[in-house]
Amino acid sequence: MAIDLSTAWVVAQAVPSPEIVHDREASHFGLRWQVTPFSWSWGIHRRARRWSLFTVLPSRRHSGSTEISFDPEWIRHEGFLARAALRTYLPLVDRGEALSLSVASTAWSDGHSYGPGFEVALHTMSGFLGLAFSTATGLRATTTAFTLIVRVL
Amino acid sequence: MIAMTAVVACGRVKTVIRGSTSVFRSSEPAPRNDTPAHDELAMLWVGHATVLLEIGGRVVVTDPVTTATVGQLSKRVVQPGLRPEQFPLIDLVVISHMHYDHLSFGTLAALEKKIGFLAMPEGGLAYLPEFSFDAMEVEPWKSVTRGSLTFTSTPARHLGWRYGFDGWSESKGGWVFEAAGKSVYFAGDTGYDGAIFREVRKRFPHLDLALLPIAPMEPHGLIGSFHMNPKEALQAFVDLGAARMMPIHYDTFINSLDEPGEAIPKLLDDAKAAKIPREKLEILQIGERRVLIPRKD
Repeated sequence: MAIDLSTAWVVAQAVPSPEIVHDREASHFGLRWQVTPFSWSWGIHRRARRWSLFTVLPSRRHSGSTEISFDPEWIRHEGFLARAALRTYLPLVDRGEALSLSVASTAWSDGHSYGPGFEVALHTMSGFLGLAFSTATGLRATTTAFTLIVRVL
Repeated sequence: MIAMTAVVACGRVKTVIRGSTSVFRSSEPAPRNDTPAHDELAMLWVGHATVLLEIGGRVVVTDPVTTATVGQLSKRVVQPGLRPEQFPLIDLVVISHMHYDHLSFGTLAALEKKIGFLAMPEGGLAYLPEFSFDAMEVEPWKSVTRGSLTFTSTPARHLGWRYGFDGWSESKGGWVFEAAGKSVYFAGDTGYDGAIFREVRKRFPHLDLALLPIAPMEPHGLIGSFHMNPKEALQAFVDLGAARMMPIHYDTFINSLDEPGEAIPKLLDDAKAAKIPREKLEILQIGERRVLIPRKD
């Protein structure tokens, strides 16, 4: 299991995905990041290594994989939220490169309370762009978020 | 330094805009739609770097790309010379490097049941999704023999990444194919590197054919270190000592500031200046098949 890093990759992890978060009272703008410490691809060729740590090539991810990720968020007027996810990607078109679907069970914490959540997303252009719908139950009320996923690697 | 960076940046932006706006244009039908057969040495240009090569009774396809777009943004200027259903059974598919216009998952999926085996340069398997055909990586200068076909990976002066941020990947190269006493060199995408071409000649001194990219040409200041223009491709042809040269990798996608139809007149002018006989250049239309050595019946 190898970790492949480039300076560009490290810098690219700082690129956030913008989102709109709704709760019972209002809608707020937010930003989400994602770090993937572990991924196992069942869609990559049988001759290739299936495990990835932190750097997950889009072809590994979107051809069919399951990963653990940490998704820190910042929500305007709410502050920071930490989210962990167990996420599975399913390829839909061109081995997932043109279109893939992901579903995730999540657990969130804002430092004072915690709760479960759920996420479903569609990804295109090798996963560089996507749209996610996620929920977080127990954060005062159930919140929902629509996230425009921007992911360079 | 700042001015040079600005010029390079402008060239890159213009190239991206030209390529991505091509998705709104219709592609022209291929000028030819010839049928593959089973000659001793023949080639059919499908378009871009995709060549269907008949060599010693074997069928090899280089960098198969028949999809309407690459990377979902850059659209074909000309439709492929063969549709996936028109391909015969393929003994070997080779991939030169990981760029979308050379490694096309959609095309591999369309050809999946016809592909016997796929070979990639070292490091390439990390990018390949699962398909029913078997695949392998080949280190530079290593040869693999399957039946009567031997293929050898050769170095190339190009970029190994697919996504831009995977800069650690060095997976790129060319290939030499040998069968029944014939040999063909496929350069993939490469800048001019005389040392590589002379080493290929040293190891394979009797190449019947060299498939050499002649574009993109501009902006040369930005791309010249990893793409050959016609003049450089002709010099590579001389370095290789091959009997014939087939230009490839032009007039199929918009991926530069080149105008369609610009590359071949430039090649012919440069060949005349370099005193390379016209008959040594096998210039095909997309979809055209040409026989160099017919089958002995």
